[in-house]
Amino acid sequence: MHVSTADAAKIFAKLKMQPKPSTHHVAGWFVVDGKRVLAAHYSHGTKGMSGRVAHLFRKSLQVNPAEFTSLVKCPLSREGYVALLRERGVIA
Amino acid sequence: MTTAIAANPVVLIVEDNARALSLRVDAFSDAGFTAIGAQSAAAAMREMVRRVIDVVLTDIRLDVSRPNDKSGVRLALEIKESDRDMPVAGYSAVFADSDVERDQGVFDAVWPKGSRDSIEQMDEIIETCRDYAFDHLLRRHEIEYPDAVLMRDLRPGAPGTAPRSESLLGKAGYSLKLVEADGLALPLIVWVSGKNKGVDVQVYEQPALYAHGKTETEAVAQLVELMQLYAEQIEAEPMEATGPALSLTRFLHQRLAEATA
Repeated sequence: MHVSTADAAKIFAKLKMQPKPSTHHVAGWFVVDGKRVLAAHYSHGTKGMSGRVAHLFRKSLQVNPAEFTSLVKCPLSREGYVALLRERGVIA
Repeated sequence: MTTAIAANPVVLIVEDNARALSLRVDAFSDAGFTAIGAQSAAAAMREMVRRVIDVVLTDIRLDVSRPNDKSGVRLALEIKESDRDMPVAGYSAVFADSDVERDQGVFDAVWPKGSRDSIEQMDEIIETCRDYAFDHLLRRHEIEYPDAVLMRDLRPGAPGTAPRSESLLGKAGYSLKLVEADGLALPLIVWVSGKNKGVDVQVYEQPALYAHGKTETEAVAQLVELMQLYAEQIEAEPMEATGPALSLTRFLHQRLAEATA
């Protein structure tokens, strides 16, 4: 799926990913109960992510394609995402 | 280890429609696979015997002249009976909703509905098959990859070419652990996309560590910048980590420790 930089920024904001920008990337950690759970990043620019990069971005968030679409299109909240990661064993 | 190896992951694509088969073979070839086509379940089984395959992608309805045909499901079952570790993915434009729950468990991944020529869906199918194929390829070569190993691409030509990314990573303080596979040193996964789409690099088993560039050198430089960015964040704000973050933190700590040793 096509993911724009704005979509990625929206996901970061929704998940409160604490983004830190550098020359090329915006990278952040997903933190739950004071513990880092996972890291994700996207690159600056207006082009958006190519197919493979979008796939890698999705995998870094530990979600399947349907869940990723929910993240981009909004139905999946931070609380829902935390519950999903717990169910999956990513968060103990 | 003297056996010749296939340079790229091998996908067997099973599709009765010749045009659709040709499109898929081209798309997978552009994406760096060795793509083999078969127009029937019988032809697919022949290829399974003749060749080494890393992932199978099959149309679920291989005979559209038969109502409710599900020969792709039967093919998946047959393949799993002979090799239960072989990843099989299925797709169909017209797989009925009522069939999905019952039959989708046969496949490792399934796209039950969608446009045959949807580029977005094809991208998703290719990348999912790449994951399955790569895991299978690693098992096939019985390579042991300890944590924090960087691997290099398996594309044709790679064995003889100087891996510039090694020195670039080295200069940034990241040492490489080389893994031998039939004479190939494999430090980092590098995927070269077709049609000038650039290069993706990815650290094995670290889902957060990947980067894209126009060239391999550019992609690796971006990867190095990203690793430094994460390392700086960890140092600036020490915090407990769990799951993928713990694995990444340990990986980056190890690299930092080696760089300062």
